[in-house]
Amino acid sequence: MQPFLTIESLGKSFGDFTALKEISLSVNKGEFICFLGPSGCGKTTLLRMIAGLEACHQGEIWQDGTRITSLPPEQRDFGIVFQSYALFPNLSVAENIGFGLKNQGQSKREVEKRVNEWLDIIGLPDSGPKFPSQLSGGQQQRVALARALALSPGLLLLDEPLSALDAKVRIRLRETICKLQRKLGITTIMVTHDQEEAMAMADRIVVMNHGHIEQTGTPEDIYKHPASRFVAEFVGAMNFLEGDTNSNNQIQLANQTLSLPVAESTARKVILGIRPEDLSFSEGQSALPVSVENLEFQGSFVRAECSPVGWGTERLIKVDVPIHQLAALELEPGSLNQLSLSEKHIHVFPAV
Amino acid sequence: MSSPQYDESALTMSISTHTPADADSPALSRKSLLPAIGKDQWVLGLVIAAVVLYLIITLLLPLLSMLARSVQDSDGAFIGLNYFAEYLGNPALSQSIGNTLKAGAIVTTIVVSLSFLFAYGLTRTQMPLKPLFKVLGMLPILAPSLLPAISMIYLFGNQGVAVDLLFGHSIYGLPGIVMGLAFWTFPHALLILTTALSTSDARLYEAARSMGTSPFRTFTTITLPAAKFGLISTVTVVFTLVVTDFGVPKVIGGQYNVLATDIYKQVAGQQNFAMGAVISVLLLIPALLAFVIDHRVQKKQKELFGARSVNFEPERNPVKDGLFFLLCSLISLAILAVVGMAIYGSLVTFWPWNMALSWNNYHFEKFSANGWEPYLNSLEMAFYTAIAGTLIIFITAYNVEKSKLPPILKHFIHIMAMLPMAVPGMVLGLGYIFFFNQAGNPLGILYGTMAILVINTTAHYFTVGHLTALTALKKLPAEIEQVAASLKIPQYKAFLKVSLPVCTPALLDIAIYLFVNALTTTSAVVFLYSTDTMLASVSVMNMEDAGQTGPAAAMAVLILATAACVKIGHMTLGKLLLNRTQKWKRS
Repeated sequence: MQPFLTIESLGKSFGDFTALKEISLSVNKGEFICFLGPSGCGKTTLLRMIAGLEACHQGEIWQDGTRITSLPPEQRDFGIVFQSYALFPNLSVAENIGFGLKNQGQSKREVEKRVNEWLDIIGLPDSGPKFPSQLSGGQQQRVALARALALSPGLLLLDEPLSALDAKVRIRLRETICKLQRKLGITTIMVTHDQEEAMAMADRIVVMNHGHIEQTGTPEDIYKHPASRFVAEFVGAMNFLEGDTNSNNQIQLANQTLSLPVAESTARKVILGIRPEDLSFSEGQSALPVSVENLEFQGSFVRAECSPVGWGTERLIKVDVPIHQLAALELEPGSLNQLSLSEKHIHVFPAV
Repeated sequence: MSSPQYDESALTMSISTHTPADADSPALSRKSLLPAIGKDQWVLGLVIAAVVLYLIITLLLPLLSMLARSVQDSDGAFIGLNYFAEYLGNPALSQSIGNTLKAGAIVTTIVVSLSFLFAYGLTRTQMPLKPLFKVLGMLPILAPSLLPAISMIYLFGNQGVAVDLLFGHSIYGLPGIVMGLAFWTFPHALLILTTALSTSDARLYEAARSMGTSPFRTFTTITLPAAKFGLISTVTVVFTLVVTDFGVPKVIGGQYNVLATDIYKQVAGQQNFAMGAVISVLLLIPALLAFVIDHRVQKKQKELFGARSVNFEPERNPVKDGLFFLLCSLISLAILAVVGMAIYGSLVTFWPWNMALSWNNYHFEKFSANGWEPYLNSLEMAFYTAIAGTLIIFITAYNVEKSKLPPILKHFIHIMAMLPMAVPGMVLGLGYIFFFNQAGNPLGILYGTMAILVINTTAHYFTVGHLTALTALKKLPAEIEQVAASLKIPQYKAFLKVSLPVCTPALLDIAIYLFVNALTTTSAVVFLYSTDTMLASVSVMNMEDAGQTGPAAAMAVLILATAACVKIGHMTLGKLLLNRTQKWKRS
């Protein structure tokens, strides 16, 4: 299948600052893609370049078989939703949704019909005559979504659409967007800095940092097999422990030799990444002594922060204990315990 | 997928699966350096070029011509700072510097203290008649600065009704200048201080009370610091207005020379343009200094107030309320006395010999060959300035705020828009003479026309309009144009359907501001009018100069009355228009 959107070696710089370098990506029709990364990583710039709101300095963008690299936004085919809603404040909700349709020369009746359909879809059937300022933030964002989709664009671009909303509203709107996206089968790209949001919504996540792509993959892929230390740290929680390589090119942690594949690195040090839920308190052959410093109740689990006893780093190690296992463990601040790690869950990264 | 260039299999795959046939390496290496340019961008580019050119011609080049002229002799040869040395070496001339600064310092002290108390009364007490006081306090802003000067003559002149109050001192000179300018600058100070005092955060006062802080300590630790930036701003604005004003010292300055009148004397009296340029440069210095200080302060002020502030509601306090009522009444009465005296004087048939009231002085044709023409010219000029000026100012602000200009260009436009605030009218007017009257300048055809008066007045009052427009535009969501583009709506349509209606109140404010100022201004236009385009404010000055104080007062009162009518119209008719376009604000 031909990709719907192809991005090739895209680059952009502002003066000496390189905002994006060598970005390549293909997006299939109907896919939901999330650009995920910390602020300043270039994700919004990339989205704006796809929209034609920023100029490309390098590379090409193809959409649906057409080279759109240097087309102005009005000649491209997309709908966009911004974090700030950006509704036309002096137009009613119905006029906001119908502005684009009306501009295309559709008849008044046709526009009205389509607008009413959209009002039903977003669950605001009676809000047509209202002005945006009379709606809540979540409602305004739904109107913005309807406005962006009213012209049936081939591509939907969402620039942090949920970031300005309350937690509860955010999750509800998240579901609305996903349902609508699947129903319409519209290719969608969303920018977010919220990894939880990205994992819940996206078919594939593009993790970005410092203007380049760190990893592209399904949410599960990214979580289970982070390609770099950055991805491991940004997506989900991760403990990082320093390990050594011995003369046999084996990794050692706290004088224990681990049977892990070693990256082709000549460095003596490696970084071992272990997620808190992959650690557990139990006696075992390779168990390590720790002392519990602090317990944090999180609902379905308890996060224990432990400091190593007689080995390893000064950094605290986080361990997630499922709530149903807690009773048997007798954990309390100051207690000494044995920490066991299973090798299959350890990610090895080169030391910096 | 993420980095196919590092993965050989991915690379070979990519060649076979690439959608567009011409997308392999040659296309990859070709850089598309051109940004996305559509029709909208071209239109925008042309508009921006026009705006930049306009600002260069109407502001930058006249000022540069003026600066150049101050270091050239009459043949245009460079003579360095010779004229400056000559000016400073001549005590008869250079004493004006001291005079100007002295008048500035005295008026600023008086006006800032009085207007602070007045504004405090309006915002922090429950004294009665607050709306009335507000109107009376702002009244002088509608008058040309010549009006209080003429009033001073009627009140304290040699035949004045209250001359005894001066105990033998003459009103001509510093006393007249101080009183006249105190009247005229009062509303400008009041406007800033009312705003500064009303943006205070009620939560701070609640906190102070809960800690048992005394009222005096509350005032010095909360009220004053919160109004600090407003106070500094007021000081610079009043000081600039005083040192650059021309009308009051012209009429009532007597032998007390100040820089603004010196420029006029050098240029209009002695045709010594170079010396006029030298004094202009000297006058620019304090004005620019005040401008820089104010600019710094404005920047800081933005950081001071949070969006979560709670409005302060003053409590009743009979003693405090009564005291401020008394004070505001006194100030209001003084303002009314000045305005009333001008009106009365204009109605007296022939002061002081025939005190019968009549419309005699309003028969301008009896006193001047121009008759009523200056008044009609002023109306015409104010009308054109309001329309054209508002349009130009709004388009400029729109481009600064909304288009993705290179930062250098944006900065340039912004500085050009802010600069007029620091340029005294006399200086701008003189710059216009030098630039537009230059041999070989094709724009010379504008010289002596109504157009140059409109252009000059727009340039002179650009800054306040620009700031008003910017504030209004900043309230619009930033991505409106981008959304419009994604909906295939042309930018001009989005502008007409959204940006323009949302900004209607601001546009109306700018138009009224320009209209009133075009009506009352004297300083810049005094160098630029011709016999066909004589203006009302200039004719006030000329008639007063010719000893026709009565008709001069009549014309000044006419200007004030017209400005007042326009303002009242703005408040009533404007409200109707706003109800139509601003429905969306009520929620």
